[in-house]
Formats: sequence, C-alpha cells, structure tokens
Amino acid sequence: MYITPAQHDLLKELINIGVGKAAGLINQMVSTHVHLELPEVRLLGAEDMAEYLGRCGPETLSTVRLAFRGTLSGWAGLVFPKPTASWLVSQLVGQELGAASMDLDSLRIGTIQEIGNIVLNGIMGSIVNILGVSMDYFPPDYFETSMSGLFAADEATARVVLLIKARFRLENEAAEGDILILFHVDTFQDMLAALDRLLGNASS
Amino acid sequence: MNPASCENSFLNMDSLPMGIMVLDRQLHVCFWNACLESWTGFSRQDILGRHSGELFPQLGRSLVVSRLKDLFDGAPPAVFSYHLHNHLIPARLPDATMRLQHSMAYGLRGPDGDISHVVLSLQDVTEIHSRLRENLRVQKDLERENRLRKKVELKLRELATRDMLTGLINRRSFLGLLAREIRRARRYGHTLCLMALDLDHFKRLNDTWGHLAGDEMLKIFATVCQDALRDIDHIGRLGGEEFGVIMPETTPDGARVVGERLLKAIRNLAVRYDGSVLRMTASIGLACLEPDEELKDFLLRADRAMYQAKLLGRDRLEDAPGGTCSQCLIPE
Repeated sequence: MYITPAQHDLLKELINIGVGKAAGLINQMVSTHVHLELPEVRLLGAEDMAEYLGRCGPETLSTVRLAFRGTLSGWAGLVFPKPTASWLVSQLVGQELGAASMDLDSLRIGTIQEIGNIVLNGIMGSIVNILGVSMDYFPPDYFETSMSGLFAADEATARVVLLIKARFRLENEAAEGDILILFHVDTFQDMLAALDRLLGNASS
Repeated sequence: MNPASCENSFLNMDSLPMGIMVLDRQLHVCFWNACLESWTGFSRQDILGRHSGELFPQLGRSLVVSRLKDLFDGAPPAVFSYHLHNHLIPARLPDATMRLQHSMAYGLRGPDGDISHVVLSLQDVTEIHSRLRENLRVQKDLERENRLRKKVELKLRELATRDMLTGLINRRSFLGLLAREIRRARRYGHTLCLMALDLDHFKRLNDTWGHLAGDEMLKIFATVCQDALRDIDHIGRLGGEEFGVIMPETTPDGARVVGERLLKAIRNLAVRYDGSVLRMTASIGLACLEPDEELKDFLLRADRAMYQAKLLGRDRLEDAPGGTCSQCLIPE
C-alpha cells in the first residue's frame, strides 16, 4: 500500500486536529496539564508490521479499542504498556481525587477507557468530519493482550495499519503509547481517494 | 417526534438491567427507563421533557455537553468513567451510599439517517468496584504479612545460628559447617585443618574485672579474629572462652602460619577498661583431617593439642597428638 507525501501530510494534519481537540477535553477534566504530542505518524507495510510486532514482544498491553464500519471499516486502538497506563491514570486521577482512595491496579480501567475514548474519538471524528464520509461505530472496548494478540483476528493481507506514536506529556514526565488504526484494505483506498478529493479542492 | 411517541419508541429498553436515558437534540430527556426510576426515585413523568443539564448538574458541564453534542454530529460513542465524572446521575443504594456508574453515550439514527437521539447508558459498577477493592486489600495484607514473616524468619535464623555476644556462628552451626567441610574435603581430596582455640586465664580476667569486662574482651577478640583469619576460614564460638576455626583447603603449614598470626594479633591487643589496660593470650591446638576420621575424633584431637599448648606454657600453637598430620589426605 502506497501513500503519497501529500496524502500523508493531510492525514497527519487531520490526526493532529483530532488530537488537539482531545487534549483540550482531557485538560478540562483533570487538574494537571496534559500536552499531547505525536512524534511519528507512519503507514506500516507488511515488513514494517512484522518488525513492529517483533519489537513489541509478548508484553501485556492495556488496549482501548474503537471498531468502526461504513465508508471506512476497521478499528482504532490506543495501546499502553500496563505500568504506563497505571502511571498515567494515577497522574490524571490521583491528583484530582486523592490517590489513597484509588485502586490504581484493578480500577484504572474505567479511566484509561475514557482517556482512550476521547483520543480515539478526536482522531476518528476529525478524519470522518473533514473527509465527509459516513461511519458507524461499535461500543468502545477495553482489554489486555499482547500486540500480536491484538492483530490476531485480522488477515495480514487484508489490512493497512497506521501507527501513530503518542506522548502524553505531564509537567516533567511523559507516558508513551501507540495509537494504531487498522483499515480494511479496500476501504483504505476509499480514504486515499477522499484525501485526494480534498487535496484537489484545496489546489483548484 | 412528540414526547409521547418518543417515549413509546424506547419502551423496549424499559426493563434493561442498566440505566437508560434518551436525549433529543436540545438535550431534553425523552426517555427514562424503569431502572433509573428505581435508582433515583424520580419517576418518568417527573423527568420527561426536562433539560438534562438542569436536572443533573454533572450532565450540564460544558465538557460533557460538548461531547454529547458531538454525538449528534456522528461522533463515536463517548465513555464517561466514574473516576473522572463521579456521578452523572446521582443514584443511591439502599444504604444511602452512591452507586458508582460507568456510562456510555451513543447516537441513534432517525429515519432520515441523521442522528436524532442520544442514548446514555449507565452501568452500576459499585459491586465490582467493592470486590476489586477488597481483593486489593487482601492482596496488600498478604504482601505485608509475607514481608513481616520473612523478616522474622531471618531474625530467627540468625538467633538459631549466631552467638549473640560476639556475632560469630554458634556451636550448633559450627558443627554443621564442619560436617559439610569434612564431606567436601573427602569428595575433592582437599586437606582440611581445624584449630581449637581457648583464651588463657579467662576465668581470672572475669573474676578480677567482672563479667562485663569479660564480655567486652570476647567481643573485641571476635573482631580481631575475623581480621587475622582469611576469607575462607570459619570461626565459631563453641562455648565460654572456647572457639573453633575451620580452615578448608589448607595444609598444616599454611594453617600454622595463620594460627601464629592470630596468636600475635591477640597478644598485641590492649583494651582500655576502667582506667587499666587489659591484655590476653590464647592457646591453639591444630589438627589436620585424617582419612576416615570422624568429626568427633577430629575435634577431640584439636582439643587435646590445645590442652597440650596450655601445658607447655600457653600463648602458643601445638599440633595434634599422634604426629604432625603425617596421614593427611594429601601429604606435603
């Protein structure tokens, strides 16, 4: 699957708009200031994907997932190593409500689910709105699995995966996770076509 | 859609075991299921047609409203966790504590394909929360207990194997160690030497200066021994002023050098006590393990050599009776 530099830049721009909106929402909810950075956005080819899965190894990851269908179909996931997810939740919630009353290991799920939901909704909302495509969503999901477990159900040849490195920066420290968007390959073509239309409109 | 027909079209969600509230574009309530009636005490008739944010201030906050409005524009379902929102719709359990709610809101398409309503579903997670917290409490208690037990075990092991006054290993663990070293020497064909050491005239020192002075001298003696011995040697307190030194992989000549060095270190000790300077010497008996020799005989030979050293004037080292280790495992 090939994406032109112009398509890539536009997609990256859409993602940044979505993430900016998400960061704004998160900052209204928690007392500490969160800055969301995306140091890397790239399409993973088959080889990149194998290398990426190999690098992730068997580590158990906290995964918030949003599946979608319609003009585009697939799923978007926000993935953190479990300790990172715990740390992030303790930073976001602990300072707000008092860490003593919290069970960060067992009960963090609701919070990480909401943070993930806001980030993924920001990105998907931005792509969908600006491209003017129509989509339906499945209920948001949370589970803990390895990276290869996350991709086990999808045929390698039928998917295109977009990897977005996400950094949640809080004062002096940061939590790093991955945002993954898996498109079923035929609908990804439709997205590229929609990106082209937008690029055509902009240049004409 | 008028309020009555709106209400009717959602009646099939009335008996769901979760709270269901349906909002129109203006965020007015157009359905309120039986579960929420039961949780909140508000009947459907109290609620229908009213603005959600006016009824429940948590729902009126801008960050909630903006996410609900997005749903009407086709945004993906929105999650509202109880950690970040506390109680979107305050609901009490029979004991008056608040129900913890995990909520999700999603858009519903009308006949024209546009989102006409938003459904807010609320799941009561109080029970699962309490169980998880209880599990965590039990886990923390067990971890704490485990840490404490390990500490106590360590202390007990120390009490069982160490001499409290000098910190040296006690008679029991010394004998255990000696048995192990004898087996090891036989298995690998190494020489093994043993010194029996007794402080000279220690009773006189105790009688003259008191037991506290005696204890002080024993402690200082233990420190001096550990400095004068090698890392591979093991010294233990066998009782009173009687000590043993196990010297693995050591020939009698090598052992003698260490023994003489030890005697010199003890001889040179000068301890200030109660305005005086106390000194002491020791007598040492040295034995080297012979083939087929049993532990008690090995000890006895070292002991006899030590008494011989006493007889010959003290402050000296004597080899075990019956020759100077002529039958050592590996003769020099």
